[in-house]
Amino acid sequence: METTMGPPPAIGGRVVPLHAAPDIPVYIYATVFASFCVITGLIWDICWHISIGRDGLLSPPHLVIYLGAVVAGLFSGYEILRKTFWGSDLEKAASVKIWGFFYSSLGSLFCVWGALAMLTSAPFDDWWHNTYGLDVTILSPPHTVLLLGMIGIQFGALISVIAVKNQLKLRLAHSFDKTKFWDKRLFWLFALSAGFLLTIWYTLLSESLGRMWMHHSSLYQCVGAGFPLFLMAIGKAVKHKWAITAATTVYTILMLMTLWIIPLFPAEPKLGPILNHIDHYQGFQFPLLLIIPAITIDLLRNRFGYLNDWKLTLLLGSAFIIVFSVFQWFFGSFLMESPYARNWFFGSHYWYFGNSPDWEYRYKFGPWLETTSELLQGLGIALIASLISTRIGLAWGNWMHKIQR
Amino acid sequence: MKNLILIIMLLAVGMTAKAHVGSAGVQMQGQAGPYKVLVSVEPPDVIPGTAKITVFIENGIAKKVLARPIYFYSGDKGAPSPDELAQVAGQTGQFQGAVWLMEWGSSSAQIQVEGEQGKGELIVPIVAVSTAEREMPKHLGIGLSILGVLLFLLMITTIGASVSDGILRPGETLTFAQKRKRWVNMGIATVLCSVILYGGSSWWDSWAEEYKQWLYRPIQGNAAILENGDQRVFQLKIDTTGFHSQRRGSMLSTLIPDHGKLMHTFLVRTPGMDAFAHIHPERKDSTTFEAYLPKLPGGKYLVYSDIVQRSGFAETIVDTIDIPEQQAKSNPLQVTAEEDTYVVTDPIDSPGAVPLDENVVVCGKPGTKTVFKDGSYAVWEGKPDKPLDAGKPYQLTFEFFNPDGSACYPEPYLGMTGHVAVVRTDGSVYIHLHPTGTFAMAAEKSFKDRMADTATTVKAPAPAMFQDSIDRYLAKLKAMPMEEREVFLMTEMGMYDVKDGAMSGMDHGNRISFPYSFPKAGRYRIFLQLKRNAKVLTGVYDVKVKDAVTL
Repeated sequence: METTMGPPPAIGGRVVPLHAAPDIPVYIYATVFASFCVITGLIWDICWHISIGRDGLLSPPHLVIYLGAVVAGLFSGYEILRKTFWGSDLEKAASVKIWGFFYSSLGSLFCVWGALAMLTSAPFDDWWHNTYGLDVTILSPPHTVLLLGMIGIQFGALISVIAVKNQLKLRLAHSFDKTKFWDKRLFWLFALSAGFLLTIWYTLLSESLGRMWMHHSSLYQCVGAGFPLFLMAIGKAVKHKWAITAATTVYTILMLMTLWIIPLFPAEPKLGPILNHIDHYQGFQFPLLLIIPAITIDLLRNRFGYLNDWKLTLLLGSAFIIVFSVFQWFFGSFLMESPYARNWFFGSHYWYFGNSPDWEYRYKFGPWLETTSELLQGLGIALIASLISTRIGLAWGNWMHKIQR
Repeated sequence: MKNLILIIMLLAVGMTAKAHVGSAGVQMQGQAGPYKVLVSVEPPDVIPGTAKITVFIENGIAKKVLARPIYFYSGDKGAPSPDELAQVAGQTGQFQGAVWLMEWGSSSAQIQVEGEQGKGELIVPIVAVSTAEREMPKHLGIGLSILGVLLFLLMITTIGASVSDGILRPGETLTFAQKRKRWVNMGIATVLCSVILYGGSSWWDSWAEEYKQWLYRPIQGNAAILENGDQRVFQLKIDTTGFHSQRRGSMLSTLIPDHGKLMHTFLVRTPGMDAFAHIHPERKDSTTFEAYLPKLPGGKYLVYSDIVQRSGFAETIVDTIDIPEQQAKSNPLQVTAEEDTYVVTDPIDSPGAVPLDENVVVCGKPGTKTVFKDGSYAVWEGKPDKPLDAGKPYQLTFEFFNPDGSACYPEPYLGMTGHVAVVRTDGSVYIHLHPTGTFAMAAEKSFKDRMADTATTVKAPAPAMFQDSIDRYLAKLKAMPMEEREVFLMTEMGMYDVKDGAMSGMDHGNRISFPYSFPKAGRYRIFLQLKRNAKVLTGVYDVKVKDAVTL
């Protein structure tokens, strides 16, 4: 049965219940799919570069990334235009108003921004290559614009899911069971989009997170500064016991799947010098063991959820870096030195074609790494970085939890 | 509509910005097994980049042409598998494609031809350097700026929405405090985004600075004339300032002889281009090269000195010099190398006005007969006064006759059937050509040796020892009688079959072709050098070159 209602009252401070609102909008699925395309395309592209070396504008991994941009841009752009020109008053009342004219959801705004940034990067990148040479650096200015665009799309997907999830409480038309069903489904969409975003964030930092650095404090500083920020925000954004564990699980599975699947396909280097001849794709890295500290902090925040954010910072920030460091340090020894890691499962045998396979430190930690006192000092800095990152992450998560539109 | 790329301005490509002054392209004629091929390469002006490569099969039927880049450092074993070149539609025997040159320095393209006569291959040396500095085309700049402003505004708006109506429940409207919060946050976002943009622009500037350090900088040399009694001596001192920062290090110790000579120097009197010498300065120390000057008339000369490194990296040192008149003429002048030679001809703007002397020729044009001082003559095939097109690969073909009109077979001169120097009237284009093409023969040999070497990476030789071994080799070569030296040089370059006692690497007739593509429009003078009866003869020809196709 359909219920009709009049236009919402234009008085401030009143909430409009979402009677008969549709189920999860299609563009939510579309943006999460776009986020998936963007990150798998990126990992494939990295494997392409470490296995084949040269590429063109329309290489298969690029096409996957562009597909993500097109899907996110079209669906979000259409949503904005539809709401602005054909949207009901109810939909407009549940949107943010831009430049006094357009009606949009916050997630769509980020997605459109990301797609636009990716579009901008294409002619910029083309000119850049004509001016300074073909792809040799991951982070050139046009590539950075592209990456910011990709992150924009993925963040937009996450925000879109959170907004719909937060609105679910207002959907009075559903029965309790149905609400529960949608809540569950939205939680998985949330975990997927958060996991994809976490993976691109990892990819951005990955140059500092290689095997060789697992016995160096710089890796722990990078992880301490880079990840609690995001993981704590994830934990705060939605109410779920295993939110952080779910996002890190998605990250771990995505990394493992690409590590196991991409090297099944043939590839050969097309750029000299080729010091390591290969005939199949080289895999990207084995995931960091983020899932272990994620379980720890999920347990801790469930047990100590009543603490204020400052106390939580101290507890979660130090727990994260300590648990991570202990596990990753010993796992790093295994990945780097054990012959049991040199197989398709762990992928320690993958090696860039331009590097000599006989390099004496291929399977051992370099002697140039730091002394024990430097290491301890560095780990101290990592702890401080983790605390600061945690505090910002909690604040960010509080904001995400409030998102309604 | 004009092509975008044409609007891209080349700012810093001056006359000396290329390894081959003004002629970046490589034209090579050679045998790929049973196939006679002409290869034309347009190297990229930015490294890493792609070189455009065109292969013309001149005889035989080729089904497939493959190309791959080989870098000196990593050799054959470290080179990628070849790519197939596409057959040019409507042009039988013409194939086109690209090779990727990722490394700065000495590279090459290996061409493999497969067809009815079997397989064959050829190696073309390429000097891979960045020479171009570009500005962003105006409309791309405007387009990107508009998109940039849009992104900037959209980001600030989005941040504003994130802290205001984005967190309101449906139907709720913003209170005054929330509106103020939005403006405050948008202000903070504006400042933050501006700082990020400023950081990005500084980053870009530093990138451009860094790139400039890798732009190819030609070697500078200072030419001088020393008076040694009544003999003038040409001296070239190579300026090594900045060698360390340019990572050129001990490169002067790794020079190798190109068809028997460590340095080939061409002197052309400017502005009339009416006096020309081809001399071979010898190494006095690492940076100093000297040669006795032949009986050139005094005046201002353009100086072009070619050198090749062990890696096959070939360069030209450019300078100008004032040569004083010869003072005394009584004694016969000394020569540094038997092959050193000179010629006087008529100035380019006043044909026929040339004082007759022992070493004078009258300048010719395509299709005309140019008589040498011994009565023999050469004819350049082509229509007189018909301009050639810039950028188009040509065979500059000459026929050589005895005074009685019978065919004259040139004798080998520095291991080649002939030499040509092409100079544009303003000196901005210069190249030393051989019947095989525009590259240094020594570079080709270096690559062939490198490919025979199975080491994956090449090790640098000990500078002093390497320099010493080259000097000893040159001394041995100089001590040989001329005929023996020519046979030795040709054998070394793989062009002389000891078994047959004849040149095998090229057609040996009285018709000699030099593949070349004039890089830009203008007037050029071509100095053709042949040898007959153990004497080097120089013929001079003028040609006009016009821009090929105007868009």
